[in-house]
Amino acid sequence: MSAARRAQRFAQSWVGLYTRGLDERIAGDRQDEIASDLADHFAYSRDAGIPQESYASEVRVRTMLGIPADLLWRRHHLERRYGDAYEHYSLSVRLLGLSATGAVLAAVLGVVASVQLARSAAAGTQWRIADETVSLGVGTLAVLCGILLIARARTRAVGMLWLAGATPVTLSAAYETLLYSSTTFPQLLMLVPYEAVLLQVVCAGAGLFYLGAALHARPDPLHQGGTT
Amino acid sequence: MVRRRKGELLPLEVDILATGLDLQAEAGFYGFALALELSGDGERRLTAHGTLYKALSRMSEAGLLESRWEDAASAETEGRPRRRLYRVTGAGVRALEAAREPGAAGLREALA
Repeated sequence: MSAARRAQRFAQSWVGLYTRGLDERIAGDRQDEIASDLADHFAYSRDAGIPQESYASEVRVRTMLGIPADLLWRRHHLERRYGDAYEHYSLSVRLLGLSATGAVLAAVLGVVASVQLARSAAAGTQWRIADETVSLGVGTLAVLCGILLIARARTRAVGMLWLAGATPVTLSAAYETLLYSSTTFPQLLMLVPYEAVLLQVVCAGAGLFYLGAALHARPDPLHQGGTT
Repeated sequence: MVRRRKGELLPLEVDILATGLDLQAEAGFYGFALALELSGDGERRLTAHGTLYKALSRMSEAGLLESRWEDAASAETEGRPRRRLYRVTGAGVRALEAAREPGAAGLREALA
């Protein structure tokens, strides 16, 4: 396959992707319009003696620079097609993305702190080891369970509720562990003003965020079927 | 990203209206010809697909442009996909004139 054809395939694959789920006529019109543009661009390049590689490169750049506009255009048409249902869906997707990102970060922090704690124990440092081990272990495992729970639509609300408790516990335990067992973490903290207050705000914020997400993800009784 | 006030034209949209008026003969103008003209006949980079066609779509919805698909048979004769042909409407001409006024004070009235 030539460079020009590959670039055209790339552009058309992207169009196929962002027009998915739109009204058939609108999606078809956009796909046909881009196909026409690509053919006209190719004919112009050929007639002007522009090498195929340059044409291919320009098609890729035109496609990639247009991605933000394509996504806004898609969103506009989804909103028009699905109205409030799309708004709810869009918010759900964003909440799920934020929730999963926050939980993964908390889990990573928990694992890092656990490793640091293990190293510290191996080096013979005995301070508060039991407290931190329990909090970190339980917290990190709970966050990992929460990630599994929010991955399934049926258990998402429970998972969010679960994370509302597990995330602050893990963050707090990881902070305490790293504060006393790491040499670099306290130095980094010196760069942050009011770090203890900030930790409390972050923990409370995470808890409230997951509570809100749990409320949003709770099953809609109107769509449960069953009795009237 | 450029934020617009209601009824305001973006610089690209002003350029599209001005260039479209120059390009449109009887049949109208099409996307790639417009992109080429906007780039100064290839002097600058061609407008990105998404940027160009989103602007054309929005302007059509706003009534500044009207479009129709080229006859498939004539496109087939030339061995290429059919083009979507645009024309600047009367509202588009008025919007362009308003945008070109000093301070573009009358633009919103023209678009209203």
